[in-house]
Amino acid sequence: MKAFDIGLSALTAQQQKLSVLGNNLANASTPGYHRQRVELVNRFPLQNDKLHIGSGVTVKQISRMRSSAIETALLRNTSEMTASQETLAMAKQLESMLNPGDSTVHATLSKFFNRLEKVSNSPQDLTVRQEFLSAASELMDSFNSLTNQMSDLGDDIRQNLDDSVKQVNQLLVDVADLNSRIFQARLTSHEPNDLLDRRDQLMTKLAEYLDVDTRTLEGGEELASVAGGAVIVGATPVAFSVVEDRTGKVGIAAGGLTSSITLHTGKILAMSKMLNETLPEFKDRLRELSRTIVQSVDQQHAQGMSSQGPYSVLLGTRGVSEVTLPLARSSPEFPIRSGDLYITVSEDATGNRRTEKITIDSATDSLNDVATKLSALNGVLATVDPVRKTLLISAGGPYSIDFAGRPDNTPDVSLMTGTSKPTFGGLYTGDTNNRWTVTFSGPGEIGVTDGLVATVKDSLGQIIAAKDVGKGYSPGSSFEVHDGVSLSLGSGTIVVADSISVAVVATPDETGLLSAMGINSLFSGSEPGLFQVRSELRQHPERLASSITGKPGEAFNVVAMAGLRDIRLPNLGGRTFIEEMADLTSQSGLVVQAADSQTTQLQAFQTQLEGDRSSVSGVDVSQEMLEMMQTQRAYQAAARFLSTADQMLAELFQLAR
Amino acid sequence: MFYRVTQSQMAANAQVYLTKQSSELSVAQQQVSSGLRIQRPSDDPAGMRRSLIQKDRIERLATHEESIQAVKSRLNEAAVQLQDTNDLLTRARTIALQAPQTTDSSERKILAQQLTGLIEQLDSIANASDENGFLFSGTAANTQPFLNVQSTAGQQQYSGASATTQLHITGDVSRQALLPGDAIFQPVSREPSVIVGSTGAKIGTGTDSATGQRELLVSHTLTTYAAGSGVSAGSDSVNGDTIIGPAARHQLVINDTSGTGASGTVSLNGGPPIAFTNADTNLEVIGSKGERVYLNTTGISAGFVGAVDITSEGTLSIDDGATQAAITYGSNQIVTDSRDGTTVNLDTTSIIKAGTDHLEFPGTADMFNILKTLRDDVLNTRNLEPSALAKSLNRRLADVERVQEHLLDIVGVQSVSLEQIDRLETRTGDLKVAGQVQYSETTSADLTAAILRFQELTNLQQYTLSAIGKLMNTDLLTYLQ
Repeated sequence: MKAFDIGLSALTAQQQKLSVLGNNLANASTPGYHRQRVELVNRFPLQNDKLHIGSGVTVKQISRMRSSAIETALLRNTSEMTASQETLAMAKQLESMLNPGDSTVHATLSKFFNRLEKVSNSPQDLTVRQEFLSAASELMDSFNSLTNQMSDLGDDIRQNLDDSVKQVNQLLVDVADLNSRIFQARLTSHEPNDLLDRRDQLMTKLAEYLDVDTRTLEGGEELASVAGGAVIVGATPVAFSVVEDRTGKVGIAAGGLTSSITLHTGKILAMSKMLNETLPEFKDRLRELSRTIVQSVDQQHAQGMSSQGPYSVLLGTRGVSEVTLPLARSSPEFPIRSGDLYITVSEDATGNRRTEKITIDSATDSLNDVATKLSALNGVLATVDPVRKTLLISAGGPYSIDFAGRPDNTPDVSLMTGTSKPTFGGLYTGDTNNRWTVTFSGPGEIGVTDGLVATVKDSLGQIIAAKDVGKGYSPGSSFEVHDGVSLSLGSGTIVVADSISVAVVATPDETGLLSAMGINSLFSGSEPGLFQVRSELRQHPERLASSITGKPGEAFNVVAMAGLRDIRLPNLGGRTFIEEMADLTSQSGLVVQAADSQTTQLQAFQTQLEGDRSSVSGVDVSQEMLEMMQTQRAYQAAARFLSTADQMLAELFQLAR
Repeated sequence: MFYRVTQSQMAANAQVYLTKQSSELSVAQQQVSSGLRIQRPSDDPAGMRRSLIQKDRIERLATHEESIQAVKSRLNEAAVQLQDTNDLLTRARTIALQAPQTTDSSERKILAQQLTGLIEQLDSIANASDENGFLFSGTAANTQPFLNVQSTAGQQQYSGASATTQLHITGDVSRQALLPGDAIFQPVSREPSVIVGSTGAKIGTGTDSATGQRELLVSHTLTTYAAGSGVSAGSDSVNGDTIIGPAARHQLVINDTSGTGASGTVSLNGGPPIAFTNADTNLEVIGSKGERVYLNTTGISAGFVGAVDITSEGTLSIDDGATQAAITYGSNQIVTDSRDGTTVNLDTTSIIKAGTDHLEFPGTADMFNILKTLRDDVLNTRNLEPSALAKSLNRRLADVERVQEHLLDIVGVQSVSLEQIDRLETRTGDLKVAGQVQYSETTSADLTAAILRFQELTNLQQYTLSAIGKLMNTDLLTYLQ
């Protein structure tokens, strides 16, 4: 009875179709599920005499409704979008660290300079000095805190990277397992749609971490690879590991190798970029900013004096790597250049001071050499601590020392045979270091001789001042020479060949040695994160080197320190400290904005692609319901057909009976 | 073929849009609540950069205002002290005018007592201090500028620093604030020196450096007589002779009336003849102007009648005899005060006798010294002749007027400083307000726009939810139910 066979085939096919429809409805909201369709075909006809009569219906295959192009695009976009989202999340953390607040670097930096300006107008007020030192501590604390936060962020990202690689390895194991099962299934049956869906879901998960590429080979087989095709995802899993190159850059390597592979998208790429590029750039700029502030302020501080006057001992707080290596190669915290270092030696009993100079060649002179040169000066003793590799400068005997660079009150009179005593005073306000020479128009007596003119020339021989010191000039009275420096000539004689020489110093330390070695610095510590206000100053605010004369009410050195606020420094890209910090902050905003914009764009594309995929692969409940009703009708028709066939057969049996 | 839209896709779309709207709603809500447009750098990176720099500038200007206030407060305090000083000098000037007309000693004593009171007041003013130290010690804020004012004789020592305190405003030139005490109370505007006395010393051609007043001590050291007469210096000659001068400035006229040198007369510079004998070893002879020599006449040549040239050497001292310089009889002899190294140029060509002259260096005496010298002259402690006293009091009056004029200059200078600082304060205030406006424009939200946006997003969210509700109710399953 062919009719029963045909009816049975219809019932069986519709039952199978109903199952598939049920499965579709069950997975209507399952992420990554592809709706399945039953393909019915009519069975091969049977030949009866010359007639080909159909033999019913059968299920040819159950296929997934899937567009490879959309799936590939979605996979790629998922990878890019996840990378962008990860970048956005990390950038937001960075941004929140740099977001200005009451105790962030922005506020403390501003406060530091504002307090410094207050000291410049009330230098004798110890409370104001203490407030400034507290502000300096807050500044260093905020820098240290921000540096640590950035390091912690780096550590967290690195931990996430390690975890992500573990996750990737686990996914690859799972995919390999599925691949084996799919291979087995294909040997024995039709397409294992649910296994393929499961694998697709795993590949999507994998794409969140790495770039995944899938290609359909001839015969319908799909070949999947990750990391730009570096690793084929087959039945044997390959393990990835996190590696670091010699510069500290992190990456991932496959199969136990040590060289990192190139990634194109995915979370791991985002994390690597953050660890290798973005975060170091911010850390480097922050480090450079804090170093520049400390170096600039320390350098200026060292060139001043406390309200107690010159020093008997100056102990360096920073060292070098090797005391016998040339300074340029001995890794000081701050670079040391070649140039002159002027040291003022004052005689305690008389107050007479003279300026001595040593010349340092950083390419050849070691710290030991510098100490030797300093010790060769009368009244100066310099020693190097062989353990800490630091420099100690002390005044010998009845002397005191400083690096304030005031003009000598007792100038060089070795070329003077007259009896008049010259005395320089005032503060040099010029821009360059120079040596001035005073000569006279002829022999005579100060305050007596008509037309006795003193002429002052700079080191190039250019006349910078002239003054009649003969009749009409009151001996011993001081007159301004040039750029804030004054001169007085005591009563006495002048011989025609007499000349007086004096060094005028704008930059006592041209080399940067003082800040590099932490001599009379404001801050101690040898690297960002460890900088702090020198403990001696915290305990004794009167020792703040506020002046260049040692007077408590004079604050020119503090003014010079406060003036650093407006200097645009080449190593900060031509920006001031505040501008650099503001720029760094806005940079973090730009990173977030870029990542956010990219994420929004990719998110929109993702939504569109998911819509496209849903259009092809999604389960439309209404459609499934219609299909179900259709199947139900077909089943009812087949059952009716069987019933009719049975009735026909019964009729036949009735005839025979 | 139609584009298939599934229920789950509709739900996913709704979720995406609702998330987006919630995010934007949150931003709008923050703007409305805080009034700020920039909450974090990514809200407006360029705006954040600008706002940070603007905020720093505002805080800096606020610091400048504080500094200006502090300096102004000191300047005002100093202005009051200087005004008091001016009143004090006005009173001193009145006393200097009254003194020459006062002959009664008790009245002079009262005037002197008033001057003592003024000196005490000046002491208090010059050493005035506030919480930031002494007002008039320059940059040596912790050092009392004038010590032991009332017990110091002569010029007052200044212990402060000769540097003006300054107002430092970064980005602006440093401005002069308080002048140091020496510039206020010890002005030097040297005028020609004056010598009062009878030694014959005059002011030289060079420029002096000594200040205030000095006493010129002209001392005799040695007298010698031209050969031929047989007269020689008596035993008290070194300490007793008062004549000083090169050869022939002074003359003895000897008349040996005995013809044997045993007796006769001797006269000095045309003075009355004094009888001598050959037994006199220390004969005092007084000249026409009171000058004196001691002679030894034991060796007078027999029958000598005639004039004998005298050479008399001496020394000069302006440091109360601590150091002495031999008189050179030059037109400009420089004499140095060993105590402070200052010098006086003297014309010693006309010195004729020993004695003490008074040197005055107008325009160089400090305020304390002027008041003390005025007090001394009121009491005539130098026992000057009435005419000399009157002249001296006139010079004191001139001194007082000079320092008062100088003080008014100082008050003027300080007033200019105060005025400049006032202008700076106004400018700083204006800049701060302008900065605050700029900062506000950079960071503040446009509240109207933010509220409208907030309302728009709220409506949009409600529409979205409503639309999703409708769409979810139109599938076949619902229809079949």
